[in-house]
Parts: sequence; structure tokens; C-alpha cells
Amino acid sequence: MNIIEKAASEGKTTLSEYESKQVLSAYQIPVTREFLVYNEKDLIKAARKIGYPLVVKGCDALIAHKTEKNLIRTAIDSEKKAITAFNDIQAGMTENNAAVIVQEMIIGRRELVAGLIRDHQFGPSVMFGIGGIFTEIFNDVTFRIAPLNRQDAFEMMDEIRGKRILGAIRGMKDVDREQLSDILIRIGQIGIENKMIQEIDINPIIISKGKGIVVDAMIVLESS
Amino acid sequence: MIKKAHELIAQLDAIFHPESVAIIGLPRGFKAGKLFLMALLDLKYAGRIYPVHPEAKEIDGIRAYQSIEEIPGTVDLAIILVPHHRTLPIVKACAAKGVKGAVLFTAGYKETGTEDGRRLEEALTHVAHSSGMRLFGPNCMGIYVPESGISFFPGLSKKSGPVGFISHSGSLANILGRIAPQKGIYFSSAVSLGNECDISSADMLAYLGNDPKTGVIGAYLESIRNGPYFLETLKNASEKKPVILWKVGLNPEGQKAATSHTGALASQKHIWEAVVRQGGAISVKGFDFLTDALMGFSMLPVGIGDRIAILSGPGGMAVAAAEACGDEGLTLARLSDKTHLKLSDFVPQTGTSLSNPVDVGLTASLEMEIYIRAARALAADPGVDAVVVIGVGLDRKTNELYTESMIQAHREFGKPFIIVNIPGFDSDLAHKFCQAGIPFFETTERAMSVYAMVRRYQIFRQKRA
Repeated sequence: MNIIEKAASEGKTTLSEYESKQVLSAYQIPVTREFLVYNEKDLIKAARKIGYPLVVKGCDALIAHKTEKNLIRTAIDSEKKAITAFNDIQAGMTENNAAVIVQEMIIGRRELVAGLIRDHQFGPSVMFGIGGIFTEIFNDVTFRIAPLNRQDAFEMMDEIRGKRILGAIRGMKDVDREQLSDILIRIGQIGIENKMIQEIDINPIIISKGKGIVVDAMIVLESS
Repeated sequence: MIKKAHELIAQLDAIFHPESVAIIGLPRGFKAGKLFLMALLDLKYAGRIYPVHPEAKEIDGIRAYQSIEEIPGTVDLAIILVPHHRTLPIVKACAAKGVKGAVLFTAGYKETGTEDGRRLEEALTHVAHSSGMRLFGPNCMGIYVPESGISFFPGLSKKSGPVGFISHSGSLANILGRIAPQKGIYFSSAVSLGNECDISSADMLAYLGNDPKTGVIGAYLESIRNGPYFLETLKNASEKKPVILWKVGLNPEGQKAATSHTGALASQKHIWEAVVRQGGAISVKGFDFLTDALMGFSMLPVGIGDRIAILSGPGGMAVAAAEACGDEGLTLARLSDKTHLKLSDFVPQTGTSLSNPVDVGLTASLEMEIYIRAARALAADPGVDAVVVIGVGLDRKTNELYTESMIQAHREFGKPFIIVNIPGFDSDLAHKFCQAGIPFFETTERAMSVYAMVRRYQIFRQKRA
């Protein structure tokens, strides 16, 4: 894929959130609607296209950095707030006129994680589990070796301890398991078809109206 | 791939049923290498044995040859015992002679971590690949095929059975082989693979999966050489028969520093669990669980149900058994009124319980008839799929009666019986149960865990069928 080759030729070992989502999107994995902007003018244009409420984020590759460096503003409901957020975030980033993402805000209380690693013995392996900022603390994840079939993906959803959050609970809809399994199968496919990809992090996938949508992602490339 | 698998199976079949065996580097005196000859003699190997020794004219009354080339007829299997630095020319000579398979006992290769060791092993692999002669090891014990009279150690059983066993450790294969008959476990074949310069655990899964004489596959694994091939052969084998895997080296330590969360979360254990799930295998941890599982899978029939009846003398063990049953997702059978009525006829009224788990109390240890009649009543109940008996008599004679009667009841009612040990029970009688095809477990927890494991596998296979 072009994005991957371009990044690799530039010596990058991680794809930014925006680039990572383009890769996912090319495999029909649903991601947030978003634009990359560098100035206020484009910010306002993007915001109008997406509509409010929206999220403004510094486009840093590392998901953890974004929270640590305070580069995320959510629930932006006006142009004025969008401009303030944009300026704050750009000021907090090391580069001048750094890239900022304007993205639709996904409303949902259930956060899942998915990912991929390239195991040295078994090759690309897909992860699925409970997502959000406490992913590593809960460590409620399960793996499958790619390629995955539908049964593998369904079994993964049944294997995690927190599997009940996928059901209809507290007024929330049942998660669309078919759609979620499509995401997992496609992540495996990305790993098989793109040898340069070493790791993929997708956290969170937010469940909105029963369907999963990728809100943040990062792809790690092989360091040459 | 399919053609290659057929070829591999044919090659291994020929190696496992050799008409002649050369033991190269067989010592004259009583040294470790002598065990390989003793093992063949012990199992009454019926083919030709050719000791190869640079000077000896004969060893232990068997005509010896100075080199493999000198042997007049064909050689199917070569067991090579010479030091590692002298192995390569001998392996080449074997290939030239048309030997079908060679076991390389000696260590000193890749496992040493040296460049020389690694290179020497690669050279062996090259000989195997270019000649078509298959290699076991190096650093392995080789093969045990009771029906062929081939063994890697004296004292292993001559009797064949349904278990095909793969081991990365020679000593572990040997220890299992030695204790197996006590547990009623018998082998179609067992192999120790060592460094796997040629034949790998995946190759063996392909072979055993297709072998009509193998009904259960067990393996002790240290590392997997070719992951995708292993997973593929595992899937194929599991669809035909249970594959029980004990994998070591799944420590959380030693994980590389990862950039991503996924990388940080991906432990070897997680990946192995994925392989087990996708491969349809059964994972066990430790020697006891491995042998328990091999015993259970060897003995329990197809189509076992989940309704368990428990019969115990000690009340505490009855309660514990009921709990283990629930923990494993099995159910306590609801006994029929008729069964209750029968039991109330001979079970003492106090200190006992007539509902499942049936607690026959202390008196039963003196009056063995109580155990026997209760076990028969439970086995006769149509709502019972399997009978777990936790019993013991006060003396040897009572225990003999207990053993014989339970074996008799098992035979008559045709339902699975599972016997659980009470410390103090005679070990030779435990052996007798296993010989009769009744699994004998050290604890109810282990018994219920294996029973549930077998049932889960049977359901898995039914779904795949």
C-alpha cells in the first residue's frame, strides 16, 4: 500500500493516527469521519463538513502520548470552541503548524480494543478485548492466528471475561457480532497482506448503536 | 502439500516398521549406548540387527561390521551413537547406503548455542533434504514402536495401544513410557525428537493424525519450529482424534519491549492459547495432567454424557466430588425413585445420604456389599451417564473384592466407571482397574477435569463432523 511504502521510505516506524486509519479504511474497517488540518481556515471548513459535536486531536502516532500530552479535546460544540481547541493543541505540539485531526465524535459507553502482532513463530496474530485507557490493567484480551474465519472471531468475543458487555445491557443494544467479526477478520488480512506491518493498535473501538467504529489507531512498521 | 504429506507418511511408516536396524557406534562394554541394543532385544525385535564398530567382530554374540557400507543387506533404520564431530560422514554414508531413517542420539549441536554446532546441524539437514533419508534428532532418543519391537530403552511395554506420543525430551518420553502401563496407557508409537534438524513435531502430527492405529495423540513440546505448518497439521489431526499438548516455556518473562499495547499484551501464553483453540487441541500443564488425560482419552468411550452419579464412603470426598463436577460444567444425575428405593434397602440410615452424591458411610468399608450394590444401582439408573466411585475397604481382601466387583459392574452395565483413589488403597489394584479400561484417578478434581475434557472434545468433534 502506498501509505505504508511512503512512510517506510521516509524512515518512519509508526504511521500517524490519520494514516493508520486510512490503511484500516482501505480494508473496509469503519473509522471515524475526519480531516487533517494545519490552519484555522481549514479547521472551520472541516468542522462544518463533520458537524458538531466533534473532537480535535493532535495527530501524534502514539495513542498514549495524546492523553499524556493533553492533545485531545472532546465534545466541541461550536466554532469558537473548535478554534480555541485547535490553537491549544498546536501550541502543545513540538512541530510548528503541526497536523491536527478534526473528527466526528462517537457517542458510546462501550470501548473495545483490537490489534495485531507478528509472532516470530506463528506470524500475524489478531487481538481482541476490552479497550479504553485501562486495557493493560484489565488485560482482558484474546488472540487468534491469522487468517481468522468467522468462527474464530465469534469465539474471541466469547472468550473474554467481560464478554457480557457485548450483550444488551443497561439500555444499550446488543453488539453486532457479525460486524465486529468482519473487523477482526480484516485486521488479520492486513497483517497477511502487508509484511512491513509489525503491530497494529486499535483502541478504542467504540460501540455506537450496536456497531463498532475505530476511534483511534496506530500502525507500527518494521524498523529497517 | 498433500503429495508431500503422503510421501512423509510413507517414509515414516517404513522407518517405524524396519526390517533391519544398524546401531552405529554400539559400545562393546556396558555404556549408555548399549541400552539401544538392550531395548531391541528386550522388545524381541524380529528383524536383523547390525552393530557397527571400528574393531569389534561381534558384540554380545551379534556379528558386528566395521562400517555401514560393509553390511551385506539393506538397512532400514540406523541408530547413530558416535560423537557429534564424527556424525556427518556417517550420516552421509547411511544416505548413500539407502537407509530410510536415522536416529541421532548424540548432543553437541544447535542446543549448545555455538556457531559450530549450528553449522553441523545444518549440514545434517542438508543431507536429509538432498537424499530423502529422514533424520530424528540430533540430541534425541529416537523411536518406540512396540508392534515393530523397536524401542529406545529397555523395560518398555511390548503391548501396543492407541496413544501416539511426541516429545521434545527423550527422558520425559522414557519416563512416560515406563509408568504408562500402570495407568493402562499403551502406545502405537512414541518419538523423542530432540533438536528437530529434520523430522519435526508437526511432521509427527501429520503422521499420527493419519495413522489408523493411533486413537489419541499426546505431546510434550518445548518449541515450535514452523508455526503455520504446525497449526495446519494440528487442525487436521484434531479433526480426526484428540491431540493433548503440554507446552513448556510459556513464561511471561522475556517478552520484547513493544511499541504498541497489542505488543505489550501479546504474551507467549496468549499466542499458544490461540494455537490450541484454532488447532482444536487440548492443553494440559504438567506430567500428572498429561498422563491423566492420556488415560481418560484412551479409556472413555465415544458419546459420554454429562449426568454424573457419585458414590463415596467418605462424606467429605462425596461433597468435594459434587463440587468438582459442577466446576467442570457437569451435572449431578437426578436419581430415579426406583434407585432411591433400592439404595434405602441396604444403605444404613444414619450418617449416609441416598441422593446424589450418594454417601454410603463408614460401614461400607467393612461391608463391601454396600458399595457394590450401590454402584450397581447407580449404573442401572437410566438417568446416569457415568458412575464415579470413591471407595476403599478395610483390608486387602475387601479391596480385592471391591476392585473385581466394580470391574464386573462396569462390564455388565456398559457405562463409564471412574474410580478415585483414597490414600491407602493398594496400587496394584489401581493398576488392575486401568487394565480393565477403567480410569483410576488420584483425586476427584482430576477425575472430573479429565472427564469434562473428553466430553468437550467429543462435542467439538461432533460439531465439526
